[in-house]
Amino acid sequence: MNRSTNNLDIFAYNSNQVSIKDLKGDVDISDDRWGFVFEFILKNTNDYYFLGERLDFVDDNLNSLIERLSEMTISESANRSEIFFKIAPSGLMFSRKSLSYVWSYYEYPALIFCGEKAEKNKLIQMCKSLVSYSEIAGSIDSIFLIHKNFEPNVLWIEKSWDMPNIQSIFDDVEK
Amino acid sequence: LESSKQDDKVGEVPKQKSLTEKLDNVLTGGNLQHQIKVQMIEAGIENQVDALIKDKLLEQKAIIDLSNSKSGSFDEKLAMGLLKNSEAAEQRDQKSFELGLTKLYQEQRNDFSSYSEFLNKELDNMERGFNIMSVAVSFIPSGGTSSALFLSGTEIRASMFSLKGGYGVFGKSGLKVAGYKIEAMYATPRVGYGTGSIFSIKQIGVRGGNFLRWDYGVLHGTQELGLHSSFRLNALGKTFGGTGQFSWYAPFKFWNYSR
Repeated sequence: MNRSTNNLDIFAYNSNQVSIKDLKGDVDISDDRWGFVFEFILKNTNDYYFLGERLDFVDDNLNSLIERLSEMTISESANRSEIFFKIAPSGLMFSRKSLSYVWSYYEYPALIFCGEKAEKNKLIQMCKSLVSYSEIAGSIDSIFLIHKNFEPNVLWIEKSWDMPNIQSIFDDVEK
Repeated sequence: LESSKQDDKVGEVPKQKSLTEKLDNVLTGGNLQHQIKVQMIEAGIENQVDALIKDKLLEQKAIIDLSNSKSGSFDEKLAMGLLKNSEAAEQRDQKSFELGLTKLYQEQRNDFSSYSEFLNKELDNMERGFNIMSVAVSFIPSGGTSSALFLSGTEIRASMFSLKGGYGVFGKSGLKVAGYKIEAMYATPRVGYGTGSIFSIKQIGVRGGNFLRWDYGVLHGTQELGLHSSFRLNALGKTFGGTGQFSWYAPFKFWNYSR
């Protein structure tokens, strides 16, 4: 199903997977136009993780940004070419600009939002192995996962079967 | 005080290089010999880099031919042969390249800054980077359509991106040359099984720098795998390409994508 609103082209593949193309340019998750997605997801979740794969480039700011946002580093490779950390709640609620910067450093970044029932150990195990984002969302209850694919101007949203239907977000926006 | 200064000068004996020392300098590992050796090794490394890029692109061409040929046909056998040859050449050139770097490092052991200067010079050489990009483009075949071009078989696709644990031909760190990082045939398992990047060249350490990449994966609004390109080229005071993915052949006509 395809629909457009606010310069965002939304495509729903099923009730658990949606991709949204920003018709204005690369996705900037700190842009207000994405606020409705975060509001919806944050209502249903309480723990947040950042998974960055394939560092695109390095500069002096990356380390300080990660230090600021991270509550706990779960795993990282040399030079932080891959990183998995738990986001301090303030990082998501108040520092989305910083999070957006960290997002832009990686080719395949993802934000994972966990609800009460999510099995954190299983999530950590799966994130440490090279399984797809869809498989992670399909295997663990009570999570939302937003990530970048090949296209820097597209945001993908995946969710567990037991989380609220993503498409209802867009119904609210269009109203 | 004046007389003691004069005494010092009188006491100095000018250093004379012995004949042995002179010969040593010229013939047995002295400066000139060292410089010649270094230049030869550096030239060898540059040649190996070019050879590696050529091998990789010939391999890609063979894979494309393979995917477009009918099962059991002569064309398929021919493409398979070319693929094996290019893979063997690639392994050989990769070893030579690594050996060259080791030799250079050994030769420069008393002068690490010269060793790193050589690498940095390569990294800063923008013009050469563009040359590499044009070489890359010139090797990609111009026929076919994006939907039919790539990989009908799941096995081929999976094995294509499984080199070196999924990190591709140049391994986890890629190949760094002329200010660019080159990677080829690496898997992108996070965004789907059988997806990957066929070739990627990007400027190192620059936000918004030049890059060129051919990906094989699913795009927004589709549920089918396909070959696509993305690129950004800052040249002639303009930026070409940029956000999003284009058809696989778009980089060949980058001037049509001015921003």
